[in-house]
Amino acid sequence: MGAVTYPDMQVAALLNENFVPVQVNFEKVSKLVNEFQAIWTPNLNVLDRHQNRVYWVEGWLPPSEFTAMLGVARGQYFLRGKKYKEAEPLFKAVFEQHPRSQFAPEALYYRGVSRYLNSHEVEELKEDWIMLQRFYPQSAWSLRSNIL
Amino acid sequence: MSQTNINWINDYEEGLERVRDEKKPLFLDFFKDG
Repeated sequence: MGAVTYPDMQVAALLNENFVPVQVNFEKVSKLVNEFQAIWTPNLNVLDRHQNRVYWVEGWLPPSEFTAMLGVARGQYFLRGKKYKEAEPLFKAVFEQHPRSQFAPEALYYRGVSRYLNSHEVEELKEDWIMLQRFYPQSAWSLRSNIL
Repeated sequence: MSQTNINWINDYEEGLERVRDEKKPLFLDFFKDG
């Protein structure tokens, strides 16, 4: 991460602007490592103010995927905080700006969830999940949406 | 430690305080040397 992804200017700007970035040495923070059951690095976590882990990724990501991941993570931060209106455009931005990203189907899935939880209109959920099944039929997220 | 323009905080508790002040999520990266 330190060699390729973190030096990327867009990655740095997004982390500085939208998150409080904390980096700790895996070998020196055994209490935290145990709390988060961190067994592997890279180990990337997004937490709310109550230390709830709202998103988590293990493994390396290139800058473009990392950027998309941050969008999903930020969406989850608002979604889990029941701020559905704030979450929805963040998920939307991921699949609009990174349609070929591995995180795009997940963003589309949760955009539908955000819209539904905000409005309780099932048509809004259907709209996104049908688009998910159409554009990302091989995705695990498409499978999870297959109840429609 | 990565050499980047990211304003890393290397203390978890300090990061939590900032999160409460700034109302942003905390991004926590466990890294290994080498």
